[in-house]
Amino acid sequence: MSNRRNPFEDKDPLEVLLPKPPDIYESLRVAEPRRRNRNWEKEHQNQKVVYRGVDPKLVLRIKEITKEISVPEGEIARFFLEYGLSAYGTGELDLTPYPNPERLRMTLFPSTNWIASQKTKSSSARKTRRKKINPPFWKVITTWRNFSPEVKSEISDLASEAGLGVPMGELVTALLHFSLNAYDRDLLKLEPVAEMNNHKLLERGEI
Amino acid sequence: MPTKVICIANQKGGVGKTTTAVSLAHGLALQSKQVLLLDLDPQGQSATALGRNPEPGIFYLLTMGTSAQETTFVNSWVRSSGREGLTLYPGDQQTMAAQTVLNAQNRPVSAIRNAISRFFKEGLDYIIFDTAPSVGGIQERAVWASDLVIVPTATEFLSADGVSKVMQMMSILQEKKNWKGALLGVLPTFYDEQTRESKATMESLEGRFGSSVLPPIHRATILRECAASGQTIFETDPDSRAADEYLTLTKRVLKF
Repeated sequence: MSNRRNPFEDKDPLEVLLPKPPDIYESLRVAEPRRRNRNWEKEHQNQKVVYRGVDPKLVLRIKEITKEISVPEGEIARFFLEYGLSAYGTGELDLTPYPNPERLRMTLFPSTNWIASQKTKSSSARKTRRKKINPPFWKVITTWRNFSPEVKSEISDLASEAGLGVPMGELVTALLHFSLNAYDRDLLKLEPVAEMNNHKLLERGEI
Repeated sequence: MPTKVICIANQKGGVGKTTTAVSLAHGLALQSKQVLLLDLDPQGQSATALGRNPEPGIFYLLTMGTSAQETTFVNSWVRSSGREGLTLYPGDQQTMAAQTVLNAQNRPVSAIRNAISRFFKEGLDYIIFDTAPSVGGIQERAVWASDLVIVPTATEFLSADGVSKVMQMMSILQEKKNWKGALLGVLPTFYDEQTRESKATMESLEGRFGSSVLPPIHRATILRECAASGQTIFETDPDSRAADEYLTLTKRVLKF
């Protein structure tokens, strides 16, 4: 049997005879996690966008770029979307909607949806063990911040019935796909500028 | 968010205070926070661990007043760590002399808080103290100056026994000296689940301090190599378990 003592309980037999001080730890203040202040989010609610059905691979690629250049994710997404919109405006990017066989709306990606739906139908008919299917794009919700109202309305106008009449997520996917492609081929450069803060301590010390 | 002051304290030596202070400071800086690391240990090893030399900045910070001229001089000891967001206020063996001065002049327990208050308007998110493994003036004043205290302890009997002493000191500061800060947690270090002693000490810590015990830092040779190369764990091997564990600590701290 182990004769190991507990550093917080076992005491010398002589010490036991002495009067015990009050338990110090019981009265010691323990820090509580602070409640997150959501004021910033409330104040900037109009700069938030929520899109359903954006290709998750493109969202992940934006996250990667965020880490590479230390710029907020929303700013990068906005930059790419603005670039895509401007390319659409100049005719460089062609966005042709096609009828969606599954819905009454149009689609920018007729083949992928069609193939995916066909695969799902045929595989469900067979009751064999199959690989786990990723959730469809429309189930994926993407949230970004730092969007100007102008960009938000330009995208929603273009996606509306008066514009292309396609789901917003599909339009965002198409714009991002175009811009990320240009970025990966070095046709589009991101040049982040250091944000100013009031940290001036080092200016007075030695670098 | 006002500047948060965190003290890494334990009266026992060799429990990983400097490694924790340096890793946490750099971890917070990597999370885009502005951090100032104050080396209150006369050994001046925080500077060494960051690849800089010990210097007597802390001596002047603790002994000089707050006139404009003195403030300019005190601020001139701020050093770049060479890492984005992380600055260093170095100390060396003269810090011991500062302790003597503080005690001889019978300076109040708020002396360090008063001395660092000049940094509160500098846009800093965190000020972190690395302290010496001793009592006698600076450590008590450093704890009193802090909003949060992390107590690293090696997972072995004698180190764990030392935790009680720090707790006692914090309790006295709270009861008698109106300290407003709080314990953030006990950080088990040098953890090795392969050894019975380490496991048993970990169980004792959890039994005694419950949810205040932070996720442990495992014993890792690479942490010693970091100090030798003047780099933090996030630079030497960001994919290592030690880096992961200090990142976990950093994220925990960000919640307070």
